[in-house]
Amino acid sequence: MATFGSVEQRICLSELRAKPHLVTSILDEHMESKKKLKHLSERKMGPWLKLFLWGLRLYAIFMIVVVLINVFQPVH
Amino acid sequence: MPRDAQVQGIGEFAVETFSNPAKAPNSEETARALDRLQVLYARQRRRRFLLVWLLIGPGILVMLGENDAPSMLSYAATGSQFGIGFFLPFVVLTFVMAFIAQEITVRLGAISKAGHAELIYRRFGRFWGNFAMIDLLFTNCLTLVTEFVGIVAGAGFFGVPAYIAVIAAILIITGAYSFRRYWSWERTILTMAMFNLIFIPVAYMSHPNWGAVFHSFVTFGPLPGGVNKNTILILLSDIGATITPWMLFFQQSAVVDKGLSMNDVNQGRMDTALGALLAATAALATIIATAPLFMHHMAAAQFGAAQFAQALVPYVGRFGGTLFALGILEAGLVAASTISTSSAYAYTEVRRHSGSLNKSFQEAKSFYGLLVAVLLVAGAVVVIPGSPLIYIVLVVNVLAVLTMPPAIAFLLLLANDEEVMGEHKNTWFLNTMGIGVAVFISLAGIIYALSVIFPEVHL
Repeated sequence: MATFGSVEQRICLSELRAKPHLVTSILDEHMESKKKLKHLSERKMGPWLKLFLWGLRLYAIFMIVVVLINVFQPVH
Repeated sequence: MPRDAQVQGIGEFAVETFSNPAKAPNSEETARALDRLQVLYARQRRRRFLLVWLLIGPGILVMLGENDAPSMLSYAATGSQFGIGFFLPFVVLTFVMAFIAQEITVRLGAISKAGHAELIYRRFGRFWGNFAMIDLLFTNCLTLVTEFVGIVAGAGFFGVPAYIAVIAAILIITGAYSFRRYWSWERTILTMAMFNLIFIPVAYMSHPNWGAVFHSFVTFGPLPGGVNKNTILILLSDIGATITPWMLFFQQSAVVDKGLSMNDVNQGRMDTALGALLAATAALATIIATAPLFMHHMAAAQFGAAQFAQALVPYVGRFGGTLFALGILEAGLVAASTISTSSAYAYTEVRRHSGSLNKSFQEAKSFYGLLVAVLLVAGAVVVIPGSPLIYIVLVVNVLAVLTMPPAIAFLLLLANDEEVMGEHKNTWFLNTMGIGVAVFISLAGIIYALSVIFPEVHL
């Protein structure tokens, strides 16, 4: 049972289940956003953006190798 | 007043406008609607504290979740090797940076209603979406192992065998998921996360020199030994203890699962700021609590959780040592829960499967399946004899920092994406702050790499 501050204004999950129209109404903004999200397409990436993302990817891989060197060097 | 009229009368938002809904709402939507109804009521009645109480959660969870076992051990190592000095204000600075990054995820989640992995997948395509997810799952799996190391070490202080500690932890974590309500899970983990503040009394028990604490914040010093390879490693480890990729994925997905809307962004910011404040306080307390080990020249660089707790007993008493061990145990438990949830969110978002804590196991099999699977694998690694745990613990925080620049780049690109954010996209001020964080983290990584590749060069 969820409370809304006073006993008179209580509603529980099972009650809400029986009122699908109420759920839809409350989640209006969420439904709109979900609809918008469905139509959200892949953005066009220019060559500079692709280069930037690849640069970051290579940076991460390079750094992981550096960490492994740092950890295993003292052991051997 | 009839009951139906009361329900419909809760705000103008609950007016019956949908006479013929296309399909019946599922359990996730019904649960979210119930949460939203309470928020709408609190907002309409101007009950500000109730509103904040209802809307806080993801920010505090992500910040206290990041104060995980390896992070607390990193702060303990900092205090024991450098005492009270440079690292106190530095840690506060890292939490400011964490707030800057996490605030963006609140807006992204509340406006797009999509998780971080889903947005990367949709806007940058399958290739980059899979890359982001694989990076996250890889670092999350390693981090989860270290959480279980912390749980086992903390429980070990009380004489609990490793396998019992692991099984009990998995049962507690999966037990919290059994509510099938995001709200109930969030409140359970939040209650557990509050025990992170247990480090504050331990700090008091160590009788710190408050003048030195104040002096360190004014002067950003002293830094015993100056800047050397060890200082850089601790520096990187402390950044990794505060800012990591899983936090971005977790908070955005949690904001969506909680159902925050555009009107809730300010409360989301407050939640994140409060989380940063609490987590920074616990982190500072840990550094202060272990500073006596530095004063007494104890070689604590390679200490584990139980060893720190034991070593502190002469300075904070048996009770203080017990609290320290409990704190590490709690840190591992909370982080294991939040990190495994972030993995499950990201996986189901990219695979376009159903994933929400408001859904039952039947409705979200792959979500809960992955959650339990990563917990079982990480727990098993810790109890299997001969596992390379020491390597994993050593690299986990550093790896988190080094994989952060690509994650921040995607975050900033999404925050500036007009199709996603509309009028709520990043301002020049927020971009400057975000780019500042990215540059700082990248530079720290590059300096670290240089210190490894050219060890003979003195920094």
